Parts: sequence; structure tokens; C-alpha cells
Amino acid sequence: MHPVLGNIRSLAWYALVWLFAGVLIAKLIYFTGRGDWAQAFAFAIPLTLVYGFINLSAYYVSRSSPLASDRRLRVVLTALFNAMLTACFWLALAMGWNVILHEWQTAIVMDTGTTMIMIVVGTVLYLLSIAIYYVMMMARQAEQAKQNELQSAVLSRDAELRMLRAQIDPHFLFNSLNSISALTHSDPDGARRMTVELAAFFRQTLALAQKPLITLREEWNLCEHFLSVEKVRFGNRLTVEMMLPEQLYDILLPPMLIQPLAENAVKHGIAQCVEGGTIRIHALTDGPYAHIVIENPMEDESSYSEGTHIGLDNIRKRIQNQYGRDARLTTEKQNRLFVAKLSIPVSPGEVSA
Amino acid sequence: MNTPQLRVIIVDDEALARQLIREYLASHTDISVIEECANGFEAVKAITEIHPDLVFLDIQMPKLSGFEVLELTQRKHGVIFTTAYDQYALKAFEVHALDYLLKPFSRERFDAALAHARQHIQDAITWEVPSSLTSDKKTERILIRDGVQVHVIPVTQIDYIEAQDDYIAIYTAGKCYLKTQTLADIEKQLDPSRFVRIHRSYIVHVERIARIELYAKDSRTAILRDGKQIPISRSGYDHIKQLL
Repeated sequence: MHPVLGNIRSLAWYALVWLFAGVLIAKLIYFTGRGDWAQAFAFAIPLTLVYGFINLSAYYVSRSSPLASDRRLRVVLTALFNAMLTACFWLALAMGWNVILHEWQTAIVMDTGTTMIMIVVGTVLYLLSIAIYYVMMMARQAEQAKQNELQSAVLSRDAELRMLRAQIDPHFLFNSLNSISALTHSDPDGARRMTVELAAFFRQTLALAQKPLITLREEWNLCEHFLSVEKVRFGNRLTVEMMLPEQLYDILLPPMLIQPLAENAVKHGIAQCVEGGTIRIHALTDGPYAHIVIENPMEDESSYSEGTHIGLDNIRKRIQNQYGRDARLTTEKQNRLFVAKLSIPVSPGEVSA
Repeated sequence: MNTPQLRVIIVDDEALARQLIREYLASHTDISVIEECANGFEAVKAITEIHPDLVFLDIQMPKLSGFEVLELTQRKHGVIFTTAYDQYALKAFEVHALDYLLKPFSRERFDAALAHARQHIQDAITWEVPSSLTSDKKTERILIRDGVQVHVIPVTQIDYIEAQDDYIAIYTAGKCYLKTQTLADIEKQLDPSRFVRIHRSYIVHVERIARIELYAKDSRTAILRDGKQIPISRSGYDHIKQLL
């Protein structure tokens, strides 16, 4: 849609600007002695208004050759050509109009000087119009880009949240509820404790997933709740050792990076081992990096084949979004032990002395 | 008059889950729980040795899944699955399960399953599952029973399989396992993009083929990475050409 023709208000302002230009041109005619006030106005005002109307076409010129760095010369030449052509057309109109005015005895002096000035003024005005349209178009594009960026930011945040929610295995909930169902008869207090742990875990998950960054301590807490629920389920098949040095409490990281690793350790490690075993999670710093290491026993090679990759790839994608190439997640199998190591950069202020 | 006792085993790797079933069963005087198994191996042993009337069977367990336990024991009657996963219901139907209890389940639901089981406990129900419904997920590991021992072989470790009379020989990294099964049967279980029937008597793991040599017109031999040579029939060559 044409930015000026679009609504009445802008059209009125546009006409006013051109009326002003017409007054200026009339003054020029008067002060160069080419006519008296009446002749100057009669000549200049209608012509400038008509020219203003003609200049609306500059929008289509600027739209048809958009500003692009590789076509700069073409843009300039197109604008110049169109401007001169329009100015010549305007001059022809002016001469015709002057002939008509001559009948009414109000013609101005149409000499070489007048035609030269008209060509130059017409060209400059047209070029000015094109330039203004370009500026308007760029402003509009910038606005659009900003809008798009905002929208995509909202979308990606949304997608991330949805992904986080989907990450928690619903079977974890079903199995836990089954354990609670069993405990209600034999150990009502145990059932209550497990209910509370389960609730705490889900409440924290929901709260933390909303934030872009949380402290390592908060994530640690989440893992502790998760694993204590699983400890009820697996009984003495699962032991947990977690160690987080106090000076690493306040390190910031995206939420739910470690919990899925703990979940993997249970699902693909402990749950597959007849005897069970120990899940060890500890954190340490090494220069500008913090390392979080999760170890679990595993039955054999095949138990880690399917299912884990999606979860690990998810974490990799998320740390790449957050830290770029500075963070990494590595896994290795050594002697029936599965070790996942998450390394993230830390700023000096985050690690308290 | 004494009702005949139903002999039941409970298979679940979680002690609490077993405890719950035991509790639900306690009010039924005609039931006696004769064994609890915490993994697939124990279940295979219990089913073959004591032939229980009814088995409560979890699906996700260490060592062997519930389905693998049934495959190994060839049991087709008196099985009730108990699991938190709903996606196996169709497969449970295929292996003739009496019922499928989704954890957590209520006492009423459990009693209904048990009542149904009492009626049909001796029927080896043989319904035909329409082929459109059968899951076409390919097997990831092969199970071989050798006396009381069970070998679990991931299909990725298989080099090739050879038909020998009534059984098949599965070759993996220098070892050979025998299994009573036909070659056509195991061919159906394997992923056709990885395993090709190159001969009436051979299925080969495509990734193990180092090269194919032409000896005479229409007579080719596959040379495996370990140097083993396997004949390729004409139709077998057509199969493998499509893959390579």
C-alpha cells in the first residue's frame, strides 16, 4: 500500500508540503523578475501541486529497485533517469500552462533560465521524494525485523519450555505412584514422605523451567528430590552419592541440564542392573570451567543403545545455544561404568572463594 | 469343599511392586504365591521349573524383558502383564496375555483381571492377530537358551547366520550359537536394511561384507571382514544389489 495515499491525513500533510514548495517557487519567480505576484502564484501553485501528485510515483520507483549493496550504481542511475524524465514532463506541462495563462494575461517570462531552473528543481524534488521513500521503507523494514526477532525469541523460548516439560519421563510418575500405592498399606509414613518428595520435585521443575538461568545449587536440589523418589522405588538397589563444594553453589546455568542425566543414570543404568549400584554426581572447577560428572553402573553395552541419544542431544543443543563452543557434554563407557561429564564456562565472580 | 489352589509367581524388578501384588492377592484364599522373581533370568527359571498357573509379569526389567521371558519359555497361557508403559498393550495381545494392568492399578481392576484369569487359566488362547496390527518393530537382540543359561546377543554383533537342519547357527565375533528356529523365521525378525538373505542357507549382516567376488557367470561369493567366504545365490545377489 502506498504510504501517502493510504490515508487522508497523510495525504493532507503531503499536499501542504507541496503547497509550501509552490509558494517558494512563486517567490523565486517574483524575485528574479519574471513576473509579478499574481503571475508567479498563478503559475507556480497549480503546477507544484500537480507535480506533487506526479511525485507520488517515486514510491514505485524506489520499490522496484530496492537498496542493495551490490546494485548501488543501478539504484542511482534508475533514480536519476526517472527524476529527469519526470522533470522534463513537468516542464512540458509548465510551458502548456504558461500558454493558457498567456490568454488570461498572467503568463510569466519563459526564457532559457526558467526552463533550466525548472529542470533542475524538478529533478531535485523528484530525487528527494525517492530518497524519502527509501528512508521510509528502511524504517519499515527495521520495524519488521525487530518484530520478527521478538516473535522468534518468544517462539524459541516456548519451544524450549515445551521441550523441558516433555523431557521428564511420565513413566517415572506412574512407577512412583505405584510405589506409593504399595506403601500406603505397609508403610503409610513412607508413602507420605514419597508423596511430598514427588510433589517437591514436580513443583521445582515447573518453577525452574520458567527461568532462563538457575544456580547450580537449585539444579542440585532438583536432582536430590528426583533421586530420593527413585530410591524409594528401587530400595537398596540404588545408592546415591552427591557432592557439591560450597563455592560452586552460585554458578548459573540453564535449568534441567543435570536432572536428565540423573534420570538416564537410573533408567539405563540402575534399572538394567540386577544388583543395582551407586549413582555418583559431583562437581568441581578447573580454571574457567566447571565440570559436573555423573557416574552410574551399567549392565552391558546394549542397554545404552536406544533412547539415551535424544536426551543427550537435547542437552548438547541447549548448552550450545547458551555457551556456544565453550561448553561440552562427553560420555564414556569404562568397565561397566557409564560416565557423563558436563563442562560449562564460569565467570570468576560466580565461584566464591 | 476345597477349591484347587492357583499357583502364582510374581515377576517385577521393584520390590514394592511385588509387595503390592502380594497384598492384593492376600484376600484371595485360592491363590498361593509360590515364587517372586526380580529379573527376567529368574523368571525364565521359575516358569520352566515350576510351571505356575498364573504369572504376573513386568515388562521393563534388567537382563530380559517380559516379552523375552515369554519367548524363551514359549509360554502362551496364564500371563498378566503389569507395567507403567501403555505402548506394549498391542504386543501383549499378540503373545496371548490374559490381561494388561497399567501401573498404578486399583484393587477392583486387579480383582477383575484375576477373575478373568480364573476362567481362562488353562486356555492357551490362540487368536490370530491381523497382520495389519502386528508391530513391525525389528528385534534388537537374539535370545538363545542353553540349558539354564541364557545368551543375549545384540543383533549388531551378528556376522552371519547359517541354516543347519532343524536349527540355525548364529556367528558373532568368532563364536557360534545354535538355536532351534528356521532361517525364514529369524529373517522376519531382523531389520531388512541390515540383514540380507544372500542364499537359501545364509543371512548376512551387510556391514560385515568386505567385498563381493565374481567367480563364474552368475556365481558370486561374499568375503566378510574376517575373511570368511559365503556363497551368494542369484536371487540373493538381487537382494544385496538393492542395498549396496
